[in-house]
Amino acid sequence: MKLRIISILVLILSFTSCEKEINLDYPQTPVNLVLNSSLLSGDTAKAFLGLSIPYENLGLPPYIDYGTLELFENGNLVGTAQVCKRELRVFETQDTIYTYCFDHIVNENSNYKIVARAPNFDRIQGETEIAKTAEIINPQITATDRFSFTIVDDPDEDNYYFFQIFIDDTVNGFINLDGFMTTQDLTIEMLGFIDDLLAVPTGENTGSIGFISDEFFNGGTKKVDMGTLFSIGQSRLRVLVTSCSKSYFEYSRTSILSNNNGDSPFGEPYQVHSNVSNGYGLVGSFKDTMLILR
Amino acid sequence: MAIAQESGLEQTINLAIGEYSSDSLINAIEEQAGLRLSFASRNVKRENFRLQESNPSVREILQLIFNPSDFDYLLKPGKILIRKREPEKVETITISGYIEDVGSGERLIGANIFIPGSSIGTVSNTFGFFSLSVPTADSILVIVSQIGYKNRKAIFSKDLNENYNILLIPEVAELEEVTIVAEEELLSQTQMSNEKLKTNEIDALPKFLGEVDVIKAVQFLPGVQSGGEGSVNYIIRGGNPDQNLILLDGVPVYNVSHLFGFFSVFNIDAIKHVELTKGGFPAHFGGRLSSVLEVNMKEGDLQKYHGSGGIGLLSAKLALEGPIIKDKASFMISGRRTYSDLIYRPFLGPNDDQGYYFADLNAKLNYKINRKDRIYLSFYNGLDKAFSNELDGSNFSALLKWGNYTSALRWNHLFSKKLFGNLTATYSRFNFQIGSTSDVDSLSNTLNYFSRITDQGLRYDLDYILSPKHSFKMGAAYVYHNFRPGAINITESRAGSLNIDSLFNLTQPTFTHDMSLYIEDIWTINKRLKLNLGLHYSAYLVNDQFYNSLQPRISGRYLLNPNWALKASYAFMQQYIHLLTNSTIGLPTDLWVTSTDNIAPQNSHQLALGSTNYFKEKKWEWNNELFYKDLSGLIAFEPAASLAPAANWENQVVTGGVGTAYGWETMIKLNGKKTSGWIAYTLSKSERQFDDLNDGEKFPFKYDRRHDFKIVLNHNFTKRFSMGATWLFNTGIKATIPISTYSDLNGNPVIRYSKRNEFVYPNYHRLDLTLNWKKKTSWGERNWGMSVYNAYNRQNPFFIYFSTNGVSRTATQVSVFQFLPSFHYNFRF
Repeated sequence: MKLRIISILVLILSFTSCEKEINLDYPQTPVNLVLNSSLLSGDTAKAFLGLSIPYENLGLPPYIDYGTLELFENGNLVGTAQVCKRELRVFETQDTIYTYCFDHIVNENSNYKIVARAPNFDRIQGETEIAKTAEIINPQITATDRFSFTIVDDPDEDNYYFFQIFIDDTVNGFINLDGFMTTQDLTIEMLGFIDDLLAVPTGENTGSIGFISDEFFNGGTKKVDMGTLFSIGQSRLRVLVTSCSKSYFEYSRTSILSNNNGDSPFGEPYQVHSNVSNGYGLVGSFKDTMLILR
Repeated sequence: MAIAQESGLEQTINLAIGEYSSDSLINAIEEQAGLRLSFASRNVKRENFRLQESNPSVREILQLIFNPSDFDYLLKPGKILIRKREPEKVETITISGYIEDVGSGERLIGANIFIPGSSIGTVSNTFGFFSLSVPTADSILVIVSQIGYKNRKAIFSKDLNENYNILLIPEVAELEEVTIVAEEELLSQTQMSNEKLKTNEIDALPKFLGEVDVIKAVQFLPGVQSGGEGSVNYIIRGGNPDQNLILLDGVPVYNVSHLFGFFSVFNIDAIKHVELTKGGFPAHFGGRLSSVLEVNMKEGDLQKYHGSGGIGLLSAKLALEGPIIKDKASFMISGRRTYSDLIYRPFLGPNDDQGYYFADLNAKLNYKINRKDRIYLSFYNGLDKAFSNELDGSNFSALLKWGNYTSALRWNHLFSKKLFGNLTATYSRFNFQIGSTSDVDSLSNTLNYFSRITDQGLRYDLDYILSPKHSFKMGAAYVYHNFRPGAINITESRAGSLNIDSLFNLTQPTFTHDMSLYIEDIWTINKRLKLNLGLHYSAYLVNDQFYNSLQPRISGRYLLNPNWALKASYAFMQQYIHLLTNSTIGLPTDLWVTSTDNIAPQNSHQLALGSTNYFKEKKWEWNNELFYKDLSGLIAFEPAASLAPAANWENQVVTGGVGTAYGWETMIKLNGKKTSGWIAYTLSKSERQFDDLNDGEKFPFKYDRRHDFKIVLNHNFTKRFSMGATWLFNTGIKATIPISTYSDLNGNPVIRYSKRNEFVYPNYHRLDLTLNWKKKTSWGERNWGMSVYNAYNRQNPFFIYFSTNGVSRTATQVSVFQFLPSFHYNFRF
């Protein structure tokens, strides 16, 4: 809707407006190292190292293979990484993605820090706790347009979750509705749906993701009671619940918000969350749990 | 001074010229005259006194130590009693009445009423009423002044029991000197950070697309900044736009924008008085942190019928007023409508029906019940509507509309000459709706999103004159708010199939109770010093959450000489409602939401110091003010927060923000015979800090414009021909811009932005000109003219966006409204 309003405004202004290219007095924009890693308990740790590029430059920001990465578990160095995989990012280009692998299995009860170095750059690092499998009880469809499930909180941990809905309509075949969830629960932040509100009748793909922060558990349980904007009928319903580290939670949330924000020239841009000091990127952790409600 | 036996007091004391302490002088009298002095030690000035002549008398010494105007010296056997004199009880009488326009009977707001040669003066209130308590005399001379009117002397007899209406005659600006009565103005007011704009001042400004606009005129005052090119959003002293309270006849107007903010809802033909208060808020104001803009509608001429109207490039307007019962009841009605949709309708295809227009209707009734009671009923309704109907097979139609409805019923009652009361019942509503319908192949569906805020209020205000030194204002108010920030109605039907009709309340309606009490004491300490001491108590109940605060207000004026006053003020303000917006341009989708259990009220403390000088027989006025504003409890909406707020909008705000704004404002104003106008400059800085924004670091407020310079000039060449010009310059607004790109966890490019508001837009400057020709005719007066907006075609930034040219990304500045000429034709009869 915002874009439509702005479109009308821009149309009105187009009668009296003009454009000119200008040279911006840009703030200093040094190229930074970029570190990304999503750690999964029980799996070996992997990471990606790359560089940022000035915004004026077109093209994709490059990955690099000449960096040095160290993994610390609970403050102790447990390994260094080697490039274990090379794959072309875009077909028929030399743009390559390098995967750095550590020879270390991630333990869900530990905290991890990854330190990255590369010639001519400052050392960068990011830390994360490891996401545990969400403990979910009583998943159920409670009405033709309602479902609920309960997440049990671990009072000793910071627990962050987000969830998405999938419907498998047996009459029309699989349709990827992704979302259309509604709730009056103020502790659940629904993202990704409202901005595209006007698209509903036209059938455009709009999804919603519910985010629940640790502060709303308080060591107890959290019953997620959702409505749907359509009748569930006899359809099979699945809910994907993702338990994640705080940094991954913020990264996911802000990525959606940044995407929703679009390129509105009147709005404040949205910074995607980064927890890498001296650089950009994310060191985080997540764990998915699929609930089959019917 | 009462002297019992002068002979004793005339004894000389042997003392040489020189400096003596009070003790040594008293000892000298007691030893040499043999008289013991009896006095309260607290009455003795502990300082050295200089004897100008040798061998002074006892009385001369006593007069040095004990001021003869404050003390009596009573000679008793063997001693002198020195007693502080009891202040004489002065009998007072109260004079009161109304200040009115001689022609129309319209009551005049903010006129200065002043007793010459005394410290006694006051200002007429919103209903033109004044009351003064003055020492008894057979006759009392009162001078009344109001800018735009000739000064008027009125003599009140002490036996006059009735109220007295003082009629003022308008100045004819191009013929006669406009007299500014500096002393009266300075003496009667303690208020600072306050500007009044006359409607003819506003009307003389260059027009934008042929339209004169109240808020754009306000934007030319010091300390006031525009929210963007052509926008009626405004920023006061570094505060957010939602911190400005806008009152139309005492009723809050929640969205003052027409045409996406390029015009305001105020039709100048219906307006009598415009007053902006930027700081030093008296206790009767509350509910917003940064400013109060009071706009009062005309009451309607009680004597004769007349009207005014005009056409411009964009709109046509017509206003009528006159008596319903002569000298008893009157009406005013004024309408305005844009006609662009009507003009281009013939050029649309046979299956198209689309357009945009806005319209306003103002009306007011005024009825004098008797000499003590009067009723006003005022009404405003405004609407913006954009529509598109396709009459081909798709049968698609879309609608976007928004508008305000306000009404006020006010009942003045004069309890006595000393006590004036006003009861006000108010209703205010702002609606926004956007929707579409389509009907294709027997499948029809509709979607409507709507939001609304409704206020119903009741307040009672009293003006009470206790004595020449103390007059009080007090009152109570209650407002019942109904917030309904968002609901969607979706219907879908297909012939022979199941129909859907669903209403989704994205946010449940919220009902809140907003209460306030206030008292002000306007205390004239002496001719130089006058204070306004006030307390404002406010309470707010939302769901089960109760907020309240006691807000002290103080302002004072110290008169250095008849042409120069120093002023100071402090005000604590609290605000319980917030504007949900993530844009900078004042879209109609911006929504007012309430403080809740999770969202606390906003607060501000503002301190201001200032001076007002008059020069050159009071033709020139120079105002200076320093201000410091401390803001807390601020909220910021996450940049990507939706325009249509979900039930969880509270999750989309960042709370606990603080801010500061400080600066210097100066304005030199000329009220000349032929030339009038002002030059205003503001040097200011405004910052914000939120723990969850910008890594917790302070950042500049978006409208942190360091320099803001304005010139407003109007010159009457002849009786018929005048010219106006305005020029403004301000530092560019601040913005956050993309600085680099990197890949995220999934390999998708992510834009990294600069620190918040780190980038400064190019400076803004613009010259507007207007020429007006006026001619009196047999039926009235006609006025036509032309205006040029942005006369030297400056390409000011409206916004900047980034695009690619195949090689790199470039920044492109979009400018609007370059060299925009317009014509207007107005008439009065």
